[in-house]
Amino acid sequence: MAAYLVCLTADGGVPLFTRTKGNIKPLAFAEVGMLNGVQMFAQNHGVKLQSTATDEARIAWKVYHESITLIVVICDDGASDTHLYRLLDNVFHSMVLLVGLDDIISIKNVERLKRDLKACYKLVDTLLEETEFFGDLTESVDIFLSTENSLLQEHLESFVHAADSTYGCLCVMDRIAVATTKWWDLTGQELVLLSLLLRSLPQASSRDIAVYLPHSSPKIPHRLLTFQLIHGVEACVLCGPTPTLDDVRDKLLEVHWKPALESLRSCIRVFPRNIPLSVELDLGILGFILINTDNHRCLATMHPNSTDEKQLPHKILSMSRKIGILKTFYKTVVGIYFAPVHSPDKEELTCDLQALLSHKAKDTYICGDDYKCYALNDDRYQIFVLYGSHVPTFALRTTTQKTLMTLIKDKKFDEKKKS
Amino acid sequence: MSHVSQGIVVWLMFCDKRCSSLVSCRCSLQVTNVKCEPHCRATGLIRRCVRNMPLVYMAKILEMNSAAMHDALVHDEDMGHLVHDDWHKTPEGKIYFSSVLRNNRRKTFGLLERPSLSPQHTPDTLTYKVFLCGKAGVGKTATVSKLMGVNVPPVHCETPGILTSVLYWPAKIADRIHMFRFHFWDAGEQALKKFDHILPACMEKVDAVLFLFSFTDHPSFDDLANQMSRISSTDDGALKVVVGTKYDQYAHSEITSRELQDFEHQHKVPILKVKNINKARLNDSEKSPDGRVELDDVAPFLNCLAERLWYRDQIAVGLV
Ligand SMILES: Nc1nc2c(ncn2[C@@H]2O[C@H](COP(=O)(O)OP(=O)(O)OP(=O)(O)O)[C@@H](O)[C@H]2O)c(=O)[nH]1
Ligand SMILES: [Mg+2]
Repeated sequence: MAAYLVCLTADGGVPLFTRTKGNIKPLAFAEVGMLNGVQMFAQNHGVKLQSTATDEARIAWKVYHESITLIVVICDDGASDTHLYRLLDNVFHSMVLLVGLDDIISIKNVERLKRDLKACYKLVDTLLEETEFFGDLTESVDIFLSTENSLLQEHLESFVHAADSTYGCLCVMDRIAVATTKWWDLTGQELVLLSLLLRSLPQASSRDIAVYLPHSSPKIPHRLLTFQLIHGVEACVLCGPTPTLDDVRDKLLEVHWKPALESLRSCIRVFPRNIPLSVELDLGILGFILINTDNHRCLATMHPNSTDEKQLPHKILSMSRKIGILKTFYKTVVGIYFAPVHSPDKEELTCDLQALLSHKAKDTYICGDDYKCYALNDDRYQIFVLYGSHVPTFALRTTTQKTLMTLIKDKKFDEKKKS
Repeated sequence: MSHVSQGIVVWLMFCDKRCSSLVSCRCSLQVTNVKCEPHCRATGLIRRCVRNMPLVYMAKILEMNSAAMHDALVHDEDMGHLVHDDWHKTPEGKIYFSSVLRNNRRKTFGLLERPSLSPQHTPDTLTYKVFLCGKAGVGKTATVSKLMGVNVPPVHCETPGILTSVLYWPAKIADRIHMFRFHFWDAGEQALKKFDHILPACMEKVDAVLFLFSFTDHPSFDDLANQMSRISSTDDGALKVVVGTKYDQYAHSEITSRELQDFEHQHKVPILKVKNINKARLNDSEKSPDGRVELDDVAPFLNCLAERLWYRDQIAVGLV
């Protein structure tokens, strides 16, 4: 899906950067000026321009801290505007994450800011890309469940403690398997952006990256240290000026993780299912996204069944097709029928249908030619399930409910957010 | 042999007693008043030297005084002859390189992992910390990707901090097989300038510093002297190598060979050239580079680095 993302200074309209996705010609300088001009014109007349639509595309504007204007132009896929604003928020907070809020809200030197913002390009591009992850879409971080989790939790706690920190997590194939309480206390957006940052960087044995937590510490940087323990498994810890990367690697890594080596190895075998093999799921399920809106966790799999899909009685959908269907389904449901997951500083959007409704939708479904989708909104859970077309429509509801029950039996997913 | 430095005398003694035990090695160090901590690294090295030194090679060292020894680090004609460059293609080499390949793709190892080889083929591991520096966009991250055998990033993305990568490289030097464990430290230039902790972290106990410039960017070549002086107070005798990237675009080079020669001569550093492009890709989902082709591409570079680091260690034992 092609898109443009434009970032300008709010008062002067000086372009800071433009990112282009897909095979489209880059925006001309005049076009950027025009996009910004409309918004400025409205603003000067006391009108806040939020979004508009053309035949093929949607455009959304948002000004942050009266300092930065972000504009997105994206192919219209029938999604509600909520998702455009979520994208813009994620972009803005990515900028904060790597540059720090101070330099962004009080711009002293535009040229310098422009140069500093180069560090965010990769992260912003990752936000525009279609990936197999759902975190940035659902504002809930992608997680990974394995039967080893409780044991790994102990190793993580002792490792993080030894590194003089309280913030740490263990990622398996870029999804959080376990994390410390403090880590889970970060906002949904912070959790998502930190995971996204790691994914956007080249693979490395270890990393030492300065990050400004967009909500928890937007002005003072922390160091995010990561260590690749085995292929596909990374231990991360957030710390202050000490300890050094070498210190943690040389003194702590072997001590705290070597004894867990076997657990780590068996953990990774759960990929790409992302949930333990012991959790049995209906054979008609081709994939699902489960979101805990309370603790900002998102569990997704496109490989729910260990059996070879070729033997199942439905048409095979490719992995990317499954992801595409589920993402589109999510975007047409959330923001229209279901309430979106909110991060703390997000404004309520009055144009959303669900905000106008006096009752809350609990279920919704669609039937495509070769698939069916069912969504269920229950208290603090939202589940979106993709079924093969052979599953009878009347069975979708009970199967979805049963699946939700099976999945939340796992305490890790259900864990209440402590504050 | 009055002009011969103390360090060399030590070598001579080793040479005489080729099969002397570790204890007597340490004694001889004390006898010659060389302040050499008998810590394990030094003793390990000594033990290796004693066993491996080809006689011709020893004789060569004996004729040098300590000043010449420094030059020897970078200018010795021996360089390039101690290592068997196409060794990875030989039947013997293939045994060792099979441990760093899987399904024709380069294997990457987590920090708790290492290449596994059968017990009779387990060489000793030599670990070196190698720091890459140079102007933003010269290709530090690209060079590490190339050496690691993973896809080279197609466009420049600033590195927002430090990335380290461990590379295992079996090499045969002076007729003995070693497993080199290069630990590359790549820091984004902007981040390095913005945050104070990055440069000291990269320079701490560093064994080699690679100064990168790009053949298609003259300012990056001009910046080298700057880069070298920036670390000169903390380099602690690290091996210094200059690396020219984008050599594949030599037709558009902004740097003349005369300039290169002058620089090599003036700073007494070797200059290596790299082409950070992936020529052949496998037909897998990630389109990863063909492991064997990549080995051929990077072997001269990594063997050269291995040889110089190994050589530097040999000399360090004598010069401490
Ligand atoms: N053709 C060609 N391109 C190269 C070569 N080396 C690097 N590049 C390209 O140069 C660009 C910049 O490379 P990076 O490795 O990201 O630059 P860097 O030195 O890490 O920059 P910072 O992290 O910002 O300090 C990338 O687009 C690479 O693909 C080369 O040998 N040949
Ligand atoms: Mg880089």
